[in-house]
Amino acid sequence: MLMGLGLVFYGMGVVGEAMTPLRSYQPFLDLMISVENPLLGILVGAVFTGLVQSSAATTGIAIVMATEGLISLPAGIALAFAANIGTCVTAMLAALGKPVEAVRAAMVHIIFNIAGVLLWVMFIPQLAEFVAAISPASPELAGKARMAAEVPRQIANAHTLFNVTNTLLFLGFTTFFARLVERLVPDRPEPEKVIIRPRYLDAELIGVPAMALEQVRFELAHMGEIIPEMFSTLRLAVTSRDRATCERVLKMDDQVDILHEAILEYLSEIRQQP
Amino acid sequence: MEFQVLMSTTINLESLADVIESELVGIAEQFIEHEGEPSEATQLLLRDLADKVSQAIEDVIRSVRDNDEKAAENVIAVKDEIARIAEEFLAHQSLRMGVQEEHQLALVRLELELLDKLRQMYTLAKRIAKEFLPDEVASKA
Repeated sequence: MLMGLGLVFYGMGVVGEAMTPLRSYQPFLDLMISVENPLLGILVGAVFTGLVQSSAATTGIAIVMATEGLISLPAGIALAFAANIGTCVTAMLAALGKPVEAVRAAMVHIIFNIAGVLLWVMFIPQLAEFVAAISPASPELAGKARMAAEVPRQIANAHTLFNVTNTLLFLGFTTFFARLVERLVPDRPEPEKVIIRPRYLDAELIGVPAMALEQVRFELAHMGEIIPEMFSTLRLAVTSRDRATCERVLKMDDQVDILHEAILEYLSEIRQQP
Repeated sequence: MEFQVLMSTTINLESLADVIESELVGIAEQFIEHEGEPSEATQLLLRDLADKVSQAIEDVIRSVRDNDEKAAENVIAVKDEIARIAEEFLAHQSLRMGVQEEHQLALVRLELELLDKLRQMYTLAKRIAKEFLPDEVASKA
């Protein structure tokens, strides 16, 4: 863990060094001026975070840029907010193809992050003033040097304050969030029940008949194992005089029929191989 | 060669399940509906036969899964025992036939049907087992 933390700081140092020339690179400075508009800053930061899939990277870069005196505190805060939105992409990707509960969890994460930003976006100037007031100041410095000394810590504090306040605020609405995502992500319709499916008939092995026949042997055993079970269930039905148990035997035979058909089809595909 | 063995095993295993589904289930239902019960001796013989057939099926499946000749031999090995139980059963039934009331004859008929189906199941198991034995052993079975 210590090594990981060390690497994070080392990485930030490298990024900082690499950014030094950008202080005088006009296109970059123009871009940073546009970031001064909070909404644009959030958009740029969110896209960047979505691409790199790391909110820590965006926040880290915002802090490094502030250290270099490249962005103001409100712009840094906007970028930190943007990181919270952009990181939703990671949650969305992680939830792809997952069960409903996982998609709902991702959805809660997305709503929480976006709602949190929307709640604060109009108050960025006030938040900036507040964190400037509570963070250490360097009155002995002036201009960009002062910005470079003060703003990184202020961005970090604003980011912490933003997340802690949002979490405390939303704690009281967990039930509401749960209901909301249940509506947004409804239960999937029950898939048609599969009685049984072949366990060993691998289509990719058909081209290698020796291996495919081996798979058939395993599948035959899979099918065969149902037969003693049918027999013992039927014996149980007679001894317990229970007709319903007889019905279970018929269902087991359906499983045998499915596997039987699949095996014959697989064998016929093997036979067609040159 | 192996292809043919697996093909016939597939068909015979399905036939085994088919005997249970289309024949034995019906017999079982009739046994459940029938008021009377087989005699102690008959129950014992049928249970013994069913145990042997059940074991033969488990052995034959093991022989298929593991290419286990020994398991296939076990199936063939109970042939005489199955025949003996069947003979004993028939002898016992023939003694009863003359003295049974009409409603009990229905039970005897059911018992005979059951015997027939159990033997059929064993025959199918034996047929599969032979496929997993060397030709010289299988031809003697």
